[in-house]
Amino acid sequence: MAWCDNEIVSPEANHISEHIKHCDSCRAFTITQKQMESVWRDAWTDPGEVRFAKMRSSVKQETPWWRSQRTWFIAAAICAAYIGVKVFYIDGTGTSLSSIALQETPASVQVTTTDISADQDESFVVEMEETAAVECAEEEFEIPQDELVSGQSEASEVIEELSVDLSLTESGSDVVFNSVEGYRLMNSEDSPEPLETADEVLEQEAFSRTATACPTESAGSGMVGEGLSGGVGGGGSAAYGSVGTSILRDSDHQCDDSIEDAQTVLPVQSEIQLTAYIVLVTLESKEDIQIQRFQWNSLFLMIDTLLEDNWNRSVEMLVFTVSSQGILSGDNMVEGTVIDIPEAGYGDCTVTVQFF
Amino acid sequence: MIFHLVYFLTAGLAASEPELLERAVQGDKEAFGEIVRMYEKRVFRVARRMCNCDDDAWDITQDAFIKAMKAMHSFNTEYRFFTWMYRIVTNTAINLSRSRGRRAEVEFDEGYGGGGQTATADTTIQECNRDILVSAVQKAVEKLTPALRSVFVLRVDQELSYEEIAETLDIATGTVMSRLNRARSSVKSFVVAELGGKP
Repeated sequence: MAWCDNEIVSPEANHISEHIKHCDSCRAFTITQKQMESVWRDAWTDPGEVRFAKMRSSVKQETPWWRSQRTWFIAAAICAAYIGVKVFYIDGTGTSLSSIALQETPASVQVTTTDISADQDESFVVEMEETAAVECAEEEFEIPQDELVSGQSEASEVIEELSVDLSLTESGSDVVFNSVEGYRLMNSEDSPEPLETADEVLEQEAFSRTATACPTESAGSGMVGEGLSGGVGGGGSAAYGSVGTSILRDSDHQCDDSIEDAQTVLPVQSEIQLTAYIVLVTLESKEDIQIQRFQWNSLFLMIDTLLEDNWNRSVEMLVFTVSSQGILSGDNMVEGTVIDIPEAGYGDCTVTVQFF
Repeated sequence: MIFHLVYFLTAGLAASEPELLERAVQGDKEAFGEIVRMYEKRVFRVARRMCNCDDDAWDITQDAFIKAMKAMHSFNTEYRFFTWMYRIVTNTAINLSRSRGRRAEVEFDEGYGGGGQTATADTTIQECNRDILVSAVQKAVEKLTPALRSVFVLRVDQELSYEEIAETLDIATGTVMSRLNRARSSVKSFVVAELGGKP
């Protein structure tokens, strides 16, 4: 049969051919086999182009492998996005894990110490970095940076005090920041009257410490020492409150007791528009690390007062510098005088508070 | 003359099969459509020979091309496409016949027609009516086991070489030869019996 199929090559094929020529039985066998197969092979009629076109259409409508894989890829991407939203978007108010982390994690506040000459005044500088604040605002409330800087945002009418409790404790040569204060901007139709005196400030400070007793509200901690840097951060959405007291945060905040305490005192602003900022503290003297905790609180309360007094100004971001001159060594350093507050351009201004 | 000239020019402009295969492997649906056009008649014919039912043959052909399309990305263009395609269609036909319970193959007695055929049998076939003979052969093919039937169809109907059949069915050439011999003997014996002759 292989010979019939031309699958046998010479010389064996020639030998078989010679045999078939002289063998009637084999010749009849091969002829019959070829006849039978050729009849069957030729008995064929093409079904017609119409049926093939229909078949091609059916094949074409079938989802090919590359499309099916793309579908799976899209489905996987949707699932990943959904999981991401569930994980990083905690509640319906839009509070994200990133913002919570910003509240709970020390921001990049550097506290450095440098030697200064004897004739130089002891001073320290508190700076609020505009860039970081803008970034935080953008991240949490999706306010474009240009609006934040230019003051076009609806949330830019008022400065509001944010949950702040900067505390500094001495531990050898290191100073630990437990929390920090910050400010936020928000609409302020029902803003309370600003505090006038240092006593009021201190009273509010006491409340603030009580209200911010929850560890989760401690905005951060850092180490301060010679050549070291410490971290201080602040942020989170807060209801409007008086200086040094408003510590309300988002509904997902973990410290319910402090929130309730604050709510009893502080009206909750319905529209919370602002975000955290980062306070950069720079110590310019070795003696700065000797600052007691209450002194730091007083300092920031002073800043609170300063900003509170200017609550009705269109300030989006404050980059302020606080300088102290010889006041850090004493216990009563609350008294201060605002010596320079630019009338315009608060978006990038520097507010200097000098202590006498 | 003009028709041949147009055909020649059109054929010259058309993409070659390797090029179409490369494009199809890359996901070009149009290229795969061209490949379907090139092979659809042969694939359908194999399917039709394997199952002897038009509807089943169309289903087999369509399923085979869909399988090929979905597995196109794994096709190695260094191999011959038609052997790959024939394997798909034969396997699809075998699976379909098995799933529908139409497997009525009869294992012919090896000695039934395996030896030399008598002159009576050859005479019966040679003198038989053509249509009757075709019907008898088709019935005999249907009775073959899938392994024998696929070899018989690929050799007798598609006229593939032993090597191509071996590549298509992924078997040795010697196996092809033995299966083909058994299939031919079985078919002939069945046909002779069907025609009322003596084997």
